[in-house]
Amino acid sequence: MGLHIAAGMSLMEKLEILSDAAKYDVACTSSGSERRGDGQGMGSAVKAGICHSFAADGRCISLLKILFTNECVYDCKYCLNRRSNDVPRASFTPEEVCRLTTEFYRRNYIEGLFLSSGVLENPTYTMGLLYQTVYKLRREYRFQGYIHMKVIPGADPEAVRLAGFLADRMSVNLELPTAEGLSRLAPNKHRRTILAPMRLIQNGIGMSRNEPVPYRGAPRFVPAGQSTQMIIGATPESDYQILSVAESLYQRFGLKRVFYSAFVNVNADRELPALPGGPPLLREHRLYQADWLLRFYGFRAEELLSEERPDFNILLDPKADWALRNLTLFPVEVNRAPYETLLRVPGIGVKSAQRIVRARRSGTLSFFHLKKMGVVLKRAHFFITCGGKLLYPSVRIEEDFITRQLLDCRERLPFDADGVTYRQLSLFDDRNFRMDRAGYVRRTEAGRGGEYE
Amino acid sequence: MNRTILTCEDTAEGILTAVYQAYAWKLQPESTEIQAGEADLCLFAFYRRVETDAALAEKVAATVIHRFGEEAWEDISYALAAHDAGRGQAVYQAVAAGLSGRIRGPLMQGLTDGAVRKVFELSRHMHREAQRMIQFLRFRELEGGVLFARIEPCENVTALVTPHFADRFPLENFVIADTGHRIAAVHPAGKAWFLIWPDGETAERFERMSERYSAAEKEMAELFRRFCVSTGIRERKNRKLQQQLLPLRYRGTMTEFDRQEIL
Ligand code: SF4
Repeated sequence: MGLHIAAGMSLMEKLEILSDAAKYDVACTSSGSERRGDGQGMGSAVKAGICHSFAADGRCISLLKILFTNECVYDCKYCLNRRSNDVPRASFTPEEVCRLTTEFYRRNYIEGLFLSSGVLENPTYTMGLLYQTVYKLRREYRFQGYIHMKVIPGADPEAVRLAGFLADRMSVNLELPTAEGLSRLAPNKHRRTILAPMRLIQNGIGMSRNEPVPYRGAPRFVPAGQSTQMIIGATPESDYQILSVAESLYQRFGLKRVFYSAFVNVNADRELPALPGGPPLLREHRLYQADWLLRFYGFRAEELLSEERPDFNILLDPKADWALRNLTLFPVEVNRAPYETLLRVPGIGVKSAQRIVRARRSGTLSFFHLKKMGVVLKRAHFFITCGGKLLYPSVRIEEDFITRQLLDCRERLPFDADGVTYRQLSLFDDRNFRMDRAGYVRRTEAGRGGEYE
Repeated sequence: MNRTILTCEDTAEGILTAVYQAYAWKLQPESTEIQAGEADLCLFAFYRRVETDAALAEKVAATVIHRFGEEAWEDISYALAAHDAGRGQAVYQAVAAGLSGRIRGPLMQGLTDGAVRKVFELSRHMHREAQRMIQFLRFRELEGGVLFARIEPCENVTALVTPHFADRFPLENFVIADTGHRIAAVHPAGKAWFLIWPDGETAERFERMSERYSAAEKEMAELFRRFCVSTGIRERKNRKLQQQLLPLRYRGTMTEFDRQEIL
């Protein structure tokens, strides 16, 4: 039995079907690899990644994100490509994927390829197809740009291992935060078959780091690290549960990134929430902010949330929310406070904290200097002193007062116009600052990337 | 005390030569100013014209690299490429601050110094514009396989971005043409790239390149446009965010926003 390629389908039609089918995977980054061209082929990689365009939903277009095929023998309830859906099916040939990737790449449309797939025949067979395709791209087309490959859960470990020497990044999607959620919504998938390849990749990366490089330019194993994705809002987990899962993935599996994907109900399945307000975008946004705090700001999940407070504040970002609950730690003196402490000040991001620490060696910093270094003073000034003085000495360091002020200087949420506006959200602020799940009004946009202050 | 104003050619070399002469002539940085291009005439100043000398400019560059490192030199050279009347003075004063020993640690981290801060800001501004070209520049394939990109950056960044593309596409023949600043980079396959300053006729030809697009170009452009549409999620539509991340002024030369040549 060969590929189920509909006869006569044009490349245009295939691309439309197979990019449309891949779009719910939110991992779009091309970051984590640094590689110069070798002068022999085409391509390089830049550590921070490059976004080449932005789609109408404001999400970055960095990689040619496609499925190899949207044929699938599985029946995950949340997925458009599930076996029981009657949707147009298409499959690329390895040749077509190589041509699209290299032709897009040399026009500077993309940084590389993101290749995923529905399950054709069985996981190992599918993984083999992905491997063949990427092998061709690397060896025949001499493509040295970025490649993100999806692992098909349940595929033979050897197929995963081989692929790891061709890809920059690999990812196995956790899909749902808990094993119960997974078995309810993705009956053909199991926690075990997801975590096993994750562990395999983690070990492979560890080994490849410790081994001496046999020769210059020798392929390294998944040099940009691995990532995963959780669907948010299809199952009833709290933010605390989700963030704790993310934390343990970072700590125990050495993941580079955890992505959160606000659930979009494409199948109107009875097992799934209807979400009349659209995908839970504000919730997704808060999770990304908190994720940033875990990875770069030295926060732990249990500092941000707890069993008693299991969900994020919809009106305040997690860092401001934390600072307000810990006002006794503030204000801190910018000219003396350790780097780790500066990072915890709302309005100070990683870059500005670094600039502060370096610049204060050559002189005493004033509020003017801080502003020039990128500190968002209208948020930060409640929490810091310069030379022992607050920016406005009459300011009261008191929770209700500062909360009100912070809410007034409107958080720059990456939504508006097309979504719910801040005005609508702030209707709640007189009644209650700490809306939680009861006020399930979570709709905004996720603007990842950029610095979180 | 009267100020001395060194006037010089409005180029990076001109400014660096002036920095050299300021030291050669033992002028005091506190009372000396470098003005590139047309000088602002001031009654109470003493003017001296500096003639550009590439060898002297080189010496200043070497000193900066030697004393403050490659990174500081990168910031300074980016700042020198900016379109900003104050850049000469900022670079001179930042170098002077560094040489005086007033800045502890790496030069460009001494942001409490006004001149260092100005160089830092100019460099950041130039990096940002160069970065955006690296993101948003689009090559079009011409008949014969040459790749051609027209760009319209607000700063003259062609020379800053070409190394990225030369490293990435060593085997391609490509041209990057900034029609606004009338400058272009030419990269012959397998060879070193170089800059040209096109005359009026060449510049006009650059404007009309779309007549020479290859057949494959039209197909790929259309494939990419469709991809950009189908990869977006309708339920998350957010044009405002899109515009914030991809400002309209860059879209004029971007394939996916072309509407003229749909198949
Ligand atoms: S395995 Fe599940 S999620 Fe993946 S394509 Fe098939 S049905 Fe969709």
